[in-house]
Amino acid sequence: MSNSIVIPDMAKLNTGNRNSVIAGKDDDMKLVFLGFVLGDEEFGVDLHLVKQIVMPPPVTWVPRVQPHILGVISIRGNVVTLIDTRLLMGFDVSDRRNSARVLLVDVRDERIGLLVDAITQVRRVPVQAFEESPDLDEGSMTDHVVGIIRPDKQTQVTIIDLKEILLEAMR
Amino acid sequence: MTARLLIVDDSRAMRAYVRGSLRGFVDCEIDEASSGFEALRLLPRTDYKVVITDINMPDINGLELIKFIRASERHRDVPIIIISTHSSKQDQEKALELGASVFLPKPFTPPDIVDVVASLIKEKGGES
Amino acid sequence: MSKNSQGNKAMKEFLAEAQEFVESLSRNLIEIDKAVKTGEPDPDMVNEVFRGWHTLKGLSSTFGVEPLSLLAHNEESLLDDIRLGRKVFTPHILDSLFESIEEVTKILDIINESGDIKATGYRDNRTKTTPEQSPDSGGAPDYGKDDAESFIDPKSLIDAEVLEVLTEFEEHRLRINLQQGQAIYKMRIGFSLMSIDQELEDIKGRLRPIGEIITYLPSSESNDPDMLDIDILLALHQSWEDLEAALEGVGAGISTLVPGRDTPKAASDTMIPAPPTAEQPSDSSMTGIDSAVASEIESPVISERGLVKKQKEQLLSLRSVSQSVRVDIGKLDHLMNVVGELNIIRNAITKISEEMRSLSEQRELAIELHRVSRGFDRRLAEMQEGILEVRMVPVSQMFDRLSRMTRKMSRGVGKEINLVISGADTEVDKLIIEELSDPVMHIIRNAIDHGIEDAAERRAVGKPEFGTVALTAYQKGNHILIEVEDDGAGIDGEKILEAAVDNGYLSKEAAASLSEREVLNLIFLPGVTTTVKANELSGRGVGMDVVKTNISALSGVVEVQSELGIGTKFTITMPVTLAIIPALLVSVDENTFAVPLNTVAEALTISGADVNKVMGLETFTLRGQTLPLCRMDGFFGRPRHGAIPKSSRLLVASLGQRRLGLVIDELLGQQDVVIKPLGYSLDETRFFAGATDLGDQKLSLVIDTAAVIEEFFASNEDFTQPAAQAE
Repeated sequence: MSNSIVIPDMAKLNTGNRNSVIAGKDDDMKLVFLGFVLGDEEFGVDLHLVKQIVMPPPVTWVPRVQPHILGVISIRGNVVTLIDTRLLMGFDVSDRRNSARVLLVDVRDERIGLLVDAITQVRRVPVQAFEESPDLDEGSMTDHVVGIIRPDKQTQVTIIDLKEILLEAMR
Repeated sequence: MTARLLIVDDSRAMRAYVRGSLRGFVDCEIDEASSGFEALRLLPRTDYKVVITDINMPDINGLELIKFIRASERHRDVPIIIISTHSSKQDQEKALELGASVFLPKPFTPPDIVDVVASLIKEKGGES
Repeated sequence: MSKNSQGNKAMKEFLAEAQEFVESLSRNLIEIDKAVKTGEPDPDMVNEVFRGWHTLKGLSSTFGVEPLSLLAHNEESLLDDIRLGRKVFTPHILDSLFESIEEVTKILDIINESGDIKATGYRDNRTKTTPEQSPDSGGAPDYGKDDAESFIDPKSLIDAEVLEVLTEFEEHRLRINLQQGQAIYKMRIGFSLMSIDQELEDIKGRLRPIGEIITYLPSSESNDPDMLDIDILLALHQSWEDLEAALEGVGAGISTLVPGRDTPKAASDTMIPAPPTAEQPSDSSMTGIDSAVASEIESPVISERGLVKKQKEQLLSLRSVSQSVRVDIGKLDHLMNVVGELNIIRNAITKISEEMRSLSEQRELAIELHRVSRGFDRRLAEMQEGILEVRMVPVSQMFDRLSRMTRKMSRGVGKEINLVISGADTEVDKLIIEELSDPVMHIIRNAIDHGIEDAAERRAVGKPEFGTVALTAYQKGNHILIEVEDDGAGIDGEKILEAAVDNGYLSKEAAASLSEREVLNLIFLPGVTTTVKANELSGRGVGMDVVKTNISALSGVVEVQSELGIGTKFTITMPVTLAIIPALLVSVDENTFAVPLNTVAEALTISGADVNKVMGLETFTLRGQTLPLCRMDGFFGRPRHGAIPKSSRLLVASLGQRRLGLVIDELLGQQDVVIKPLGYSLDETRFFAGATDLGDQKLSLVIDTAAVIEEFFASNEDFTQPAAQAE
């Protein structure tokens, strides 16, 4: 596999094991994450969680819903709820960037769109390079940080349990 | 040579099960009939190597079908497999008297039916 | 791989077939239940129920669904005993059979939900009273006893040739008929193999009213490969003349196996001839006259035509014999989506052709394009209609389930209920049927529980002891109406008012001014129930308010009429389909929304000067009536302050008796829209029935007018009172 992003469509997740919830593993026991940018930080999620990446389509505003719900978009004829990942993660809202993309993920039998500022690349790291969740300050979001990886000296990627965050927000 | 088979059963699922069991194990093409009448319609048109039929069917029952097949020019010697549950001993005996070759009680496993069909085709193949 | 997918296919077929089985079984059981009350159930139907369980047993054991095969095994043996006359239907046996259907449904649900074919999660929680142990355990029937006295050995009367192919059941039925002294005839009738199914149905229809068909014996003597002679074994219950009349024009050779009282002496081998005009080709069993007539018809011209016909029939035979296919509703939704997209493309083409027409040098092409696109429009509309039709299923699917539940409930509360069903063949969108079952069930439950009085009470007021619940469906324009009417005690308006005042919905003074109809409609408010105490059946904290909410969610309306002492009638009005609806496109704060046309009574233009204030609320006087106004921008959380701008638009929306004026910015037009559902993540907003794609790549939300009206009146309680009078 080269640098191109290959999104497996129907990867099944073994939800029994927490490690497998947050990261896919490839053949040589490397963890595979999709890296994306919010503000000036890079985050990573289990690659298998992401079904598709699309350019942001026109958004339709939905009145009287939580602020992190941007509205609905049309994906291949289906209505998909679009979530502002920045608001969801407690970031401030700043200008929409040209590099913005929508990650499509499946949560509770529903396909959901997540607006992120940019996609970086698929990050593959050996299992031993995965640093378990550091003890950060108590906070709603830090609970969902499962670990950190450092693909190179300059880069640090925070791995989050996106599914859990979404489930909590949708509760 | 590929053998042509006829399955007569009013249950779609049962027909699909038999078909699925045989596929890949017995070199055959399978026709399906969902009633005795459909079977009567198909029988005069094709030479079947084996007929598989249920007994309890609406209108024309399996016993009548066996008698009809045995009386016909074309299929008087065709092996007939009866698939049925063990509900009536009497019906089972009648079926064998009328000339059914094998009684295969439900439930049967895929290897069961494969074995029976394969051995019947082989027997007939040796004759002709 | 292919092996696997075949296995999957068989499994899917199994689940689908099991579901069909449940449906037909419950239909048959309800018929049997009725028949048992008045006499003997139709043996054919009993045998069909037996065969159903028999098939289910075979399938479930084959596919390894143990709880199901165990259940089916027990019921199969029970039904076997009954069909062979060893037991009779008793209320207990029927109860247990009805319960078993519920159990099968539970098992299938578990398999469907968990994908666990072994249904390991299933527990049979019923307290087992095997029919043997129950108080009235069937025992020996009073008809068709196989005791020594009345025993007639069919072997002494009927050919061994015939007997050898009868199943145990058929032999039993033959014996019963012999004991009853019925005449037995064997009728040879020639059938064309291609149309044998229809021809046989026709014969069945003729013979059933006058006797019992024991079996069909195909004869292999026919010379013509396209023809088949079938001997029908009939036990004649009526007179010989009736038989002659029934078979008029069929062309049947009748031989008497066991003569009856009025069998003519000459009838040992009679021929009821087919008229020469009948399309009955010559056949070996016909008598001389008929063959002569037949050969006369075989003139060269006709035989040539006959040849063509035969070839056609052969072509037909290559097709699948089954006339129907089962389709996943998801696939239909997909097709509907595609049609929706085509609609969008169509709109774009129309727009282009209009633009082209304004360019003089393109006029001719534009006219051509316009013509072509008109043709396309028509075809597209046909396709849309066709797909909608495929989604339609008869309400009988729902009614069957309801009659089962009704029977169970009425036995549960010890009231005799006669459920009268009409219009079961009315067709409704599959989705509606599924969503509507629960609300209708709840209404019926209410009727049985609170509506119908107990037998003593009914006697006292001179009503028949049987309570009647009428379940009716019919189509009216683009709507389906479902009515549930009972002949019970009716709803006591006083009690309703009391409950509504207690719950703080309105003041005593306001209560006094309500019309009868308005009072009845109060039962749809949360907390206002038709009775003081909830019991086991109607309790569970679900009230009519939930019924109403569920029905509104499907863009339906429920209304109630009731007369004290006479009865109560609920009427549910639903759109025929949910998939495509005509809608008004409106703009609110620069966003486009769709409003279902059927919820809008009229559209007006108003300005701030037309607006009055009543208790701080903006209202408009429409033909002498005060109409409360809801400014949609404010309702959607984007209020613009100040008066309503000049030439704003007003949509008059109504829900049952309530009316509300929706103030919007602009009316953009009218269009048929395909509604697509919103995801669960938007459950918190109730004001949208879905979204629709209008072709600009951007979705528009479809406003759920009913929800808006409800929310508006809930948050402006002073207007709870419907249709306030103008001062």
